[in-house]
Amino acid sequence: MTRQELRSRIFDALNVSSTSPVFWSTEEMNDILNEAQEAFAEEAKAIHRTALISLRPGASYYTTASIAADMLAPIRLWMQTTNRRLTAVSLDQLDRYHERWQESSGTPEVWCPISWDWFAVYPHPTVGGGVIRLDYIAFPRDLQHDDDKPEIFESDQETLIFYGVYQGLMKRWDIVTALEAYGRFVDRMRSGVVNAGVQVRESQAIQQGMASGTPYRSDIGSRWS
Amino acid sequence: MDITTLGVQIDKMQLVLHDDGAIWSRAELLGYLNDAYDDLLSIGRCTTRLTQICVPPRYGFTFCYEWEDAFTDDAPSRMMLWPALTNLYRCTYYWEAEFLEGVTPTESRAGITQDWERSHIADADHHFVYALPHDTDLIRVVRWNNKRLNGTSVRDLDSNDSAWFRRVGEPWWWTEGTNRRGTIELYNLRTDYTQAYNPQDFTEGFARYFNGSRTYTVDSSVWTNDYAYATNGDRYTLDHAVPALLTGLGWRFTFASLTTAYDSTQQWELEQVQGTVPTTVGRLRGTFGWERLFGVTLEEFAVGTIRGITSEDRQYFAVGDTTGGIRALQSSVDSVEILHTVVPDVDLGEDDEPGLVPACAMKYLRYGALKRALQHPGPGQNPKIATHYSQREQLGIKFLTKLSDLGYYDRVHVRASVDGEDSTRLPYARLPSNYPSVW
Repeated sequence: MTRQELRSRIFDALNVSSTSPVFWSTEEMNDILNEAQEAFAEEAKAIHRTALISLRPGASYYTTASIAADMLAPIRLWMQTTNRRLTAVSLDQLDRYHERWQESSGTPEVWCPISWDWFAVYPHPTVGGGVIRLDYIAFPRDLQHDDDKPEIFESDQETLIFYGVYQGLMKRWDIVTALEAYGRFVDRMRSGVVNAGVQVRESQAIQQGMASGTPYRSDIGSRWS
Repeated sequence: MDITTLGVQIDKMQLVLHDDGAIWSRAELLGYLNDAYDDLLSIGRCTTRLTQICVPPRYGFTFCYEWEDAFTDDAPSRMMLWPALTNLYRCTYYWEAEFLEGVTPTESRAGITQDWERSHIADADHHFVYALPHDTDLIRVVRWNNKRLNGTSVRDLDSNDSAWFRRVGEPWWWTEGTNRRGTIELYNLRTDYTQAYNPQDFTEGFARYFNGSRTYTVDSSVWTNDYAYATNGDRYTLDHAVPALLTGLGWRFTFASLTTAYDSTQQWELEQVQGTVPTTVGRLRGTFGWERLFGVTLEEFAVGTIRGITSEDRQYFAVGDTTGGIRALQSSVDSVEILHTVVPDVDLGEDDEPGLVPACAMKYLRYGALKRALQHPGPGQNPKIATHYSQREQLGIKFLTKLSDLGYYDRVHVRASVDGEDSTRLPYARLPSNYPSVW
């Protein structure tokens, strides 16, 4: 559905004219649709993107803002020069593994989240160059014009309508009906989570196995599990 | 959606509240947004920052009396002296308290008024205290020289060592210490000077170069000058002419002699006119960048403030100030490094953006503020809608907490083994609240 179609469906559900709404402006409803996409993406993790990180000499820490402003969370870091996936570890794991891990240099083997907007790689390279491919769950971009379509599956787009109706009713202070619409949004969102789960299941299949050393030839699996 | 100013969020809230300031003023809504911002960060604990502190620690202010703390701005501050004689006097040494009370003074260790003084004396009675930034909320990790330290309590340290707060050596522990909130202590102490690159005299302009023993090179995008000049007379004229005779980057291509009136274009000439035996060899020198086409050595012009430092061995972080300038460039080497969650240390205005949370949190800020507005007794109060907005705000806080662990989605989650040793501490026995206390 296009933005215009989504907006019309919402206005119809609210029983107002879709061409000249009185209670809500068109811009207001466009804004609500963008928020609906965002709320959906937060739960369903339905938007995936890829970015490249150029390794910098001596740098252990990288901010997500310097990589991609729309990043919600990384799902895979791939070291291009060694063709190896970086294992996600916690800061506690890293500190237990190496007391002075920040002093170690070499080709990165693991990555470690620090906060929502930055993470560390270990070990850090001493020279610049080399690329990490970062696949991540993203926030959707705003819909740009009336013919623009949301990125999520067509089958999930009705979810956005429920969210728009819910927000419209909240503006009417009709809390009872609004909560019903919100309930429908949540129900449909679960379906969206399942749809996005096709990709989640696939990524689980390529994660490291429990057996020591698999599927990588190095022993990184056993070291970090 | 993009991150927006709080003013834009207030506009959106007014649309939902159907109020143009008659019931809820913009200032009131701004206050609610700030409260919601505090809640997102302090309850969600989603935002972690790295603070690197020099050894010995620096303070923005030190003071002697409580009232002075009201004028110490937002910089880390510390009260250095001890109150004595019913809080009337301030002491630097322990013996001063005895003297003030009319007791025969006993010998005490050296007194200091700044922690850097510990680098020059063997022992002191003062605790060696690191002040944290004002936005610190929860300390996650403390490191010294890249080594993670273990947290402990003052009670445990007191039980094991009678002089832990004075003992110099390798740091192993950190503790909240006995000082005011927002400070920590390391045990053992390192009092030797290991300061960061810190632009000196920054009030007179930005730093243009470093000094010190480390080797460095400068990489600048400015590769040529706009004009060149030769003598002090040229410089004086160029500096004082109104309007300016020349604009842009000027470069003096001569060396000024400190002992004679001569200027030189070669280093060996300078040595010659200053009466020393020339030790350097002449080289082809030019006055403009384009002359490099004819074999002239290109001059490097490091113009503007220092934007960053790169090193093969470590990562340098810029420590800024509220005006956007870089006040220090610091790494974790030889310094105290603290990972801590942060909360806003000042209230934001309508033109400010809440930069400590991701853009997706804007809606949760708004819901938190709407909750507060609709809970407010008086006209417009609507507890049912307020409850719903409260639930959405709580969902947002939970989401941000989850988001703070960026690795959540990339980690292999497995159930814990039932065979492993249970490391969970057994709960203490809890007695009923009316159980008689025995001392």
